[in-house]
Amino acid sequence: MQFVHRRTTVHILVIEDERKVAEALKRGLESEHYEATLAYTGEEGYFLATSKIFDIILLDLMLPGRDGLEILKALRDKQCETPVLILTAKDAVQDRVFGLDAGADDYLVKPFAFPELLARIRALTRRGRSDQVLRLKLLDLSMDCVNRTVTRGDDVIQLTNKEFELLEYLLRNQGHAVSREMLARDVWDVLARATPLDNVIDVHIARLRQKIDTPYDIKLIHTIRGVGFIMQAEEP
Amino acid sequence: MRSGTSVRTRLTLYNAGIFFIITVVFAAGILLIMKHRLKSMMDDQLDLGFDTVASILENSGGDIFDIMHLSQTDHFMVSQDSVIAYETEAWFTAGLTEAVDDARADPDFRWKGRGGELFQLRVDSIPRYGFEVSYARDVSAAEESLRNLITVLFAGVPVVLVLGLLGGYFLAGRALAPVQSITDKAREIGADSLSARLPVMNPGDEFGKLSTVFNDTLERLERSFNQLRQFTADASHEMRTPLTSMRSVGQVALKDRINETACRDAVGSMLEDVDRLSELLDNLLMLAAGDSGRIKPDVESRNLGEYVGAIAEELRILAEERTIDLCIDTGITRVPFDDRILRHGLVNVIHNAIRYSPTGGTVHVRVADVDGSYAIMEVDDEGSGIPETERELVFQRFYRIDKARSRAEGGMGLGLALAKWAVELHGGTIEFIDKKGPGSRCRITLPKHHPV
Repeated sequence: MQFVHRRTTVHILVIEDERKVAEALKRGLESEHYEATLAYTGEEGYFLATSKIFDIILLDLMLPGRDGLEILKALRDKQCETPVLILTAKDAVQDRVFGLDAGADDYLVKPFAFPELLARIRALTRRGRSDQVLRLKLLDLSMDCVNRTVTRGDDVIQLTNKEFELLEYLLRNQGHAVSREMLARDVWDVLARATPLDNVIDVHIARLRQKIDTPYDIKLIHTIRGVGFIMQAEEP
Repeated sequence: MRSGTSVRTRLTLYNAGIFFIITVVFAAGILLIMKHRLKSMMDDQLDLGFDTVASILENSGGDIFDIMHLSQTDHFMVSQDSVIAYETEAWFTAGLTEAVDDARADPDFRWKGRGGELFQLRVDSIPRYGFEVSYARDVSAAEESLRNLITVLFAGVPVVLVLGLLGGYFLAGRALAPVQSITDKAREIGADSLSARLPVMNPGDEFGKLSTVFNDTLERLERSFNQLRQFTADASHEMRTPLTSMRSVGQVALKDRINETACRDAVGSMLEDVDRLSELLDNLLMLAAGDSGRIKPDVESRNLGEYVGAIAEELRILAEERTIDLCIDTGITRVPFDDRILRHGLVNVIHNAIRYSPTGGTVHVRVADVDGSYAIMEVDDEGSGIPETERELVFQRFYRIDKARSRAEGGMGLGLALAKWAVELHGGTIEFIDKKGPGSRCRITLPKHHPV
């Protein structure tokens, strides 16, 4: 079910001068069935972006020669409407606002977690299509977002509000890894990373598991060490 | 403009210049007064002599016989219809008759006699008897003393100037003497010898005050330098720990021919360390941005009680896990604050209280109003407490009371430093204070009217 929305292969242009990072991105994207093209300089990236058709552009802001913002402005001036996701090491809010003003669709601050990048790319490819699925299912677990009920097989499972939100988020991202950072931001609405919140997230995940996984043979919530959590029927 | 000249030279020149001006003004004043006095004295004497001759003539009814009794050393002459009627010997000897015409036209006329004397004359007629009386006085003595005075004054000015220069140079040298010793000492002070202090000779005078102020600055510099040094050491230690762990995990994983699960585990462990490093980096960047004053709080009046309650509720699950009773007692207290920044302060303080409380203990979180100008938040725990000597130190970056324990629990020693920064950015204070019973009490005060 996770590939249903992807009709054809999504082409991604990665403009990133650090080869190691660029290649890791390419490999990671390809393992997720995206097609990735690399450009190591701003000029090369600009040339590729204007001569071929891409679905998404990943643009590093700090590039030798022409910097990312310049490229972005040039692309937007040429009526190129490809969604652009900015990768930036600058944590300053000013730069982010500047990037979005220049026509970027989203930004990600380095060092970012790969699942986070994938989630942003999914969001950009989904853009314009409705995300309002009100019944979520995974194997025999189902969630009704209108009545706020959760059942597994024939059992009705009682969840607290936070557990419900957490499960909903995991289900909406089923098949994709979800980092603690994403949970903190999207479920808890907290932007800064902090140890206390990580602990809180872990306890909530443990409790959720107790309710929806422990009594059953097939586990649905899995921990990927060093990355976060993933919800799927198979072992990762 | 005068960058090359020393303060001493400049002071000396100013001093001499002022002396010079004073002297010149003074000399000119004396000269004018003396000149005026001498002139009026001369005029008076001249008038007196003339009046004597004139009155004798009047009294004798125009008979010139009586004036012959006057001294022959006086200079006067009486004429009738431009013919000399009588002249004294002194008048005749001096040959003053030839000066009469000029003196008649100009009362200030001075006539130079053959012997080099100077004469001033008064020529007036006595119409009733048809006489004209010319009276002269030798004014060369007065002129002489005036000339002497000018000479003395002109000779005195350069002397005063030289004395002013010498005295100024000497005084400026004396006054500036402490500067030299301060300069010498200050030259020695560098990053490596910040513990040195400037000499304070007299704490009351200007140089003493300067040295004292400078020493205070040095004190603060030294303290922040030491803190920086400590901070760098701590930060690198904190970074080295996950790096060491990453390296060894990676090397071991490469060395052994391990299966996929073990390999995934190794990579996962390394990613955890990366996570730790980036969290550390995030926190350090935030503190650095705070230090440089780049972070401006986006202040808005909010209900602090409600906000603290929400954060405590968020952390309640951690208390539950350890069967700690979390009591939240918050009223409505409106305070201006930036919720995203203050969150650091509140979360860390409450989290610490839960972490360091014994299982089954109680953590109290209270928010209250104090006399309408401050809001107070207090967090009590029943842990082992903080020794009085460490109550300020715990807010330093990377400071830990129990080094092994807190790191094992995932702490980095930055929580309270972040809390302090967040609270102080709002003009508030944070401290650990005494409380009854075991444990510690952290008190945060926030002003209700913060001048941001």
